[in-house]
Amino acid sequence: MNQFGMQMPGGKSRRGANPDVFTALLFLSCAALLAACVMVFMQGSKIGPDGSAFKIQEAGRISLPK
Amino acid sequence: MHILSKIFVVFAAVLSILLAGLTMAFAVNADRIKADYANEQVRRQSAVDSAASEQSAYSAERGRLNQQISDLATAVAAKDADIRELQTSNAREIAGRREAMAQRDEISNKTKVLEETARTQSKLIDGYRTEVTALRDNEIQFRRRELELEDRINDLESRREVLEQTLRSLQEQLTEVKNSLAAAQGGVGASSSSDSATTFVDTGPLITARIESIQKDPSSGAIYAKINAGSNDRIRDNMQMYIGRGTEFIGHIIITQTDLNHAIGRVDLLGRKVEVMNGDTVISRLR
Repeated sequence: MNQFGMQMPGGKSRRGANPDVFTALLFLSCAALLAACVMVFMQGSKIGPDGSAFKIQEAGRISLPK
Repeated sequence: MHILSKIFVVFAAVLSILLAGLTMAFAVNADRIKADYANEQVRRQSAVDSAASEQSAYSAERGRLNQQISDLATAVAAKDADIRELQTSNAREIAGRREAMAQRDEISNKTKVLEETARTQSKLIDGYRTEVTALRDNEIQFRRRELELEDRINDLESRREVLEQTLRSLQEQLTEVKNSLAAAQGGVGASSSSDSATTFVDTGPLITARIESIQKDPSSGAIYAKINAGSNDRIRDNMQMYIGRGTEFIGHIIITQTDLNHAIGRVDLLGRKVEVMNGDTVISRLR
């Protein structure tokens, strides 16, 4: 019943959790998000005003970094 | 849950938020850039159309300008030809002008020479006129003197003729007296003819004349001839002269009538069968 987290009387005391497959998946997702952020930042810097990836272009007054 | 899982969850949340912002900004920017790109496309197309129209207009203008340039080039070529022709004509005119100037100078020099010649000739003419005037005066004086001398000669000649006539009449009277004396001394039968007594031959300077006309006396049959010399040529009555034709002797002529410039005489052919003709020469004595 340990596998269900239940502690049976007389059972051993409970130990700390170990990294499991979900931890690995979270790591992979974090890496993918980081890569996506880097790429989107780089490409957004190319089309953003004054080379900023977070600024918005004004309609009719598009200015691209040189 | 493991601590790493928790940390990863937090990181994933933060990165998701960051990615969401970046993605929204990127999407908006992309959309606006796309819209602006479309507008730019439309603008570019209109600019291209305008450029095409301008290009066509420019082509037409260029064609027109090229035609105008060609026309102007033709006109320039014609003007160049005219200029060359005018230059040739100008050179010809300049040469003609120089030639005319040379001829003018030559004529001027000739004129000067002619003026000098005319001046010299004028001086000569003046000298000649003075000389001719003097000569004319001298000639007039000479003529006047000659006329005076001729008048004097004529007077002397008249006086001489009168004296000769007087002498002849005196000789005739003397002859008649002699004949009368002879008749008175020896009788009348020895008288001779008056012709043979008065006929004489002039011994002075030779007188030459020509027979102008011949006439025969029908009654006596004597031949009378008229010669072109008279008393002015010292022809006198009863003068015996000789008639010849070239070197041929024809006969005698005895002057019977004398005028100033003509004389008439009786022809004596001495019995020879010859004939007197007009133009025969009459001389006063044989040479």
